[in-house]
Amino acid sequence: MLTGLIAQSSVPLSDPRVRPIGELLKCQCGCPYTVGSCDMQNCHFAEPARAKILSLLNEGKNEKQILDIFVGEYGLKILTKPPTEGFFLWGWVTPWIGLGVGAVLIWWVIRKLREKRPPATVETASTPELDRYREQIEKETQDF
Amino acid sequence: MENLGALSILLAFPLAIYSFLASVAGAWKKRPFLVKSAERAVYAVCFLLTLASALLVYALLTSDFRLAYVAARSNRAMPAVYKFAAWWGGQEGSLLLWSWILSCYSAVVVFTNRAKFRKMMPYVTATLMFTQVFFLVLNAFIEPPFKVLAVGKGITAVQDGQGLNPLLQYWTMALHPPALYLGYVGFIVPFAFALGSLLIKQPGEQWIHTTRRWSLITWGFQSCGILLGAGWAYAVLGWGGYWGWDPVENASLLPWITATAFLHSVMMQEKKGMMKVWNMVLVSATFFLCIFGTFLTRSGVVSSVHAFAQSQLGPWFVGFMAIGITFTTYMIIVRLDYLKSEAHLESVLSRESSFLFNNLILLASSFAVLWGTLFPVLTEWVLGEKITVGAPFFNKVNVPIALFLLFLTGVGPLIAWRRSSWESLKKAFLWPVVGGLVLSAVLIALGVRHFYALVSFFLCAFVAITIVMEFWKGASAIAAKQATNLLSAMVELTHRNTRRYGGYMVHMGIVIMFIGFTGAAFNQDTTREVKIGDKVQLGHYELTVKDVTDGQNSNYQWQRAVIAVNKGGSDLGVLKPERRAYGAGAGEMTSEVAIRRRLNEDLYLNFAGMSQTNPGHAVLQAYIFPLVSCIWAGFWVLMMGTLVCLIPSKVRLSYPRTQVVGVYEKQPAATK
Repeated sequence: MLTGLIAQSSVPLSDPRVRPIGELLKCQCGCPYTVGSCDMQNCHFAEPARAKILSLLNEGKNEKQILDIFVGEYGLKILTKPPTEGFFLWGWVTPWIGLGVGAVLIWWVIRKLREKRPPATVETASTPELDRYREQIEKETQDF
Repeated sequence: MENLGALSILLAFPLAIYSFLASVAGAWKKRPFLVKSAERAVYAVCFLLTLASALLVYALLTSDFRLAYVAARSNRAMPAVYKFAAWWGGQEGSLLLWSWILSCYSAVVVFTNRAKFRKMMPYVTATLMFTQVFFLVLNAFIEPPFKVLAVGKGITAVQDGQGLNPLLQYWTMALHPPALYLGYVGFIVPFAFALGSLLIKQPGEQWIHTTRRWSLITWGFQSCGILLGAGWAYAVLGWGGYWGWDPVENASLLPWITATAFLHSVMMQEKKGMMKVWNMVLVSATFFLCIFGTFLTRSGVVSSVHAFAQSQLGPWFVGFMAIGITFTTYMIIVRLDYLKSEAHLESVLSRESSFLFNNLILLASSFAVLWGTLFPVLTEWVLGEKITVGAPFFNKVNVPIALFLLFLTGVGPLIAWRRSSWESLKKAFLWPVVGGLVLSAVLIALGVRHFYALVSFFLCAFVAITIVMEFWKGASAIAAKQATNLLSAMVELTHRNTRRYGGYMVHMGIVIMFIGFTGAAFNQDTTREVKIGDKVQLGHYELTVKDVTDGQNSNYQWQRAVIAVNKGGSDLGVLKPERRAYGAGAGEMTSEVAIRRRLNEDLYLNFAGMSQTNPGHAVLQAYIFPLVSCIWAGFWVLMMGTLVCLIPSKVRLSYPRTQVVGVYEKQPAATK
């Protein structure tokens, strides 16, 4: 049986016109590939889909029209990326919004970190202790 | 045997609970004997889980098909190495591996710190054991690995098992999961120390010094695991892709990114006493992203080819993460006073600022990956419509971010701590920019027009030159002073500050990997139906089909195409791509591609099977992947750099640093 399976392996995509469109469509057989790259034997989805793309191309349909036909038939899950309209736009812009918010935060942190803070517990420190720390600060600054 | 295995897990469960409770009680009530006994329980848990794991491995190696796990993941024909790898080939076994690695790490942590950090250690132990309890719940009650196949009232064995998924029967796949788990699980140690320091109100960086090596080693394991997975995809899936932006692949990348940010930002805390809260957030985020990754792989929340079968694990993981994140967030908030920055930023143009930007970009990239991974779930929840977010989305969003990060990799190390002047920056960047521009001009002259590829090559040259200059400047000073050759001076330089120069090596590894990623812009491929004697031209290669043979062994049947490769009239030998049908795979076909690997390009042949429409013709897919080997070469440089970072420096550097004299508190307004 196994030899039979090997011998019946499917025809992968060989038409160069079909491939770019196939790459925009997700294979629905459960594999991680696109219609353009799924080479599973006798794939119940990718093979008919490739044949359909070829026939639609031969009918004179362009890429957008072909994608619309597939979306109409299988829903948006067939596309390998979300559309750039409506709610799906959030998918595209949110990472950049996140980056912007992060940049504002960094700006705020930099401003905050640039403020010199008042010394710690100055009022409660006794004079000899203060002198000792002042000497240490002086020494460290010189070393630096 | 199965009873002993199950009993070991069942005994480990209450022991881990005891260890957790005794640690907390011992620290709280100041009872050293309780703390000691909790630590001994950690060793006992480790012993019991080692025993359980050994019994499962023994059952796999001896094909004990009475066990359901063995029958489902192994068969007699599999080579011993894959029988062993079946340990992590399924849900139950891989969860046991998780638990076992965690118990080993815990035992090592307790042992190596048995005389240190006595105030902090009980909380470290408690954190480790709380996580251990969670995983033992899964091992003991939700996904037990020692279930037996019961027929009626008896126990019986099947004649042969179903075998490991054929796609997993590849050498890197035998190493990829354990490496990734060592990295995932390992990040609990820095997290446990961080939480411990919060609980005991430790204001300093002790937890960072203590866990620096842990963080680096586990980061190294994560890198190793991710790259082994990429290597597997490249060699096994038959289309030459090494990264498909699959949700599970993304899940492995997320903690790696935050861990990378953490490894950079801890330097700010060590050297300047800054970003303490941020480091707490990063180490916690990394740990919880590791758990989140495990959750994604096992819960069925997102569909992925890499995921295990759907199970009831999801709510358990959600519960654990909810408790963990809530408690950690609460602890960070109530300890904010102990996490105040000790120094202020003197200039925006400083190394400190570059670290902030580095963290921003790393986190933005992590967020973009997380967002893209979860957006289909969100869409389904909001609109009720399932969508796919695949490679085109991730490439569009992440490529610019990654390139900016590459830019910062070059800029950061050249900016001085505290403050830099524009003059010094101009001087430092002159040659790297010139080098990048020259390379770009050459590439444009050679006909390269791909925008991102040009930007990437420019940045690769820019960063590489900055790194080489850093080595050159330091090594030539040493060579002049010690009258030695440049190579010895370079070794001496690296040894004097392993962390700095090891870090540069890691950066160089990343640059080399970026060169490999950029090569993808120039991939070429062709798919042809060919018969014996036919020739296929791809780029400068001429491929001639010499033969198609078949055969079988006890594990699989194969059909092999023999392809002679010729380039510019010279014979380069033959490549033999295979198509395999494993007995284990219920007829599932796998590709055993043939690759001619060279540093400049790989010739990659996939024998996709026999044509259905064209009898007697084989389907041959041929690819040229320029520079792809740089990815694997860069990985080795990265690993070498990581190892160098782990070597103690010859010269112990002390940084001028303000000593903490007290915790900053708001002073009451002075009254006149």
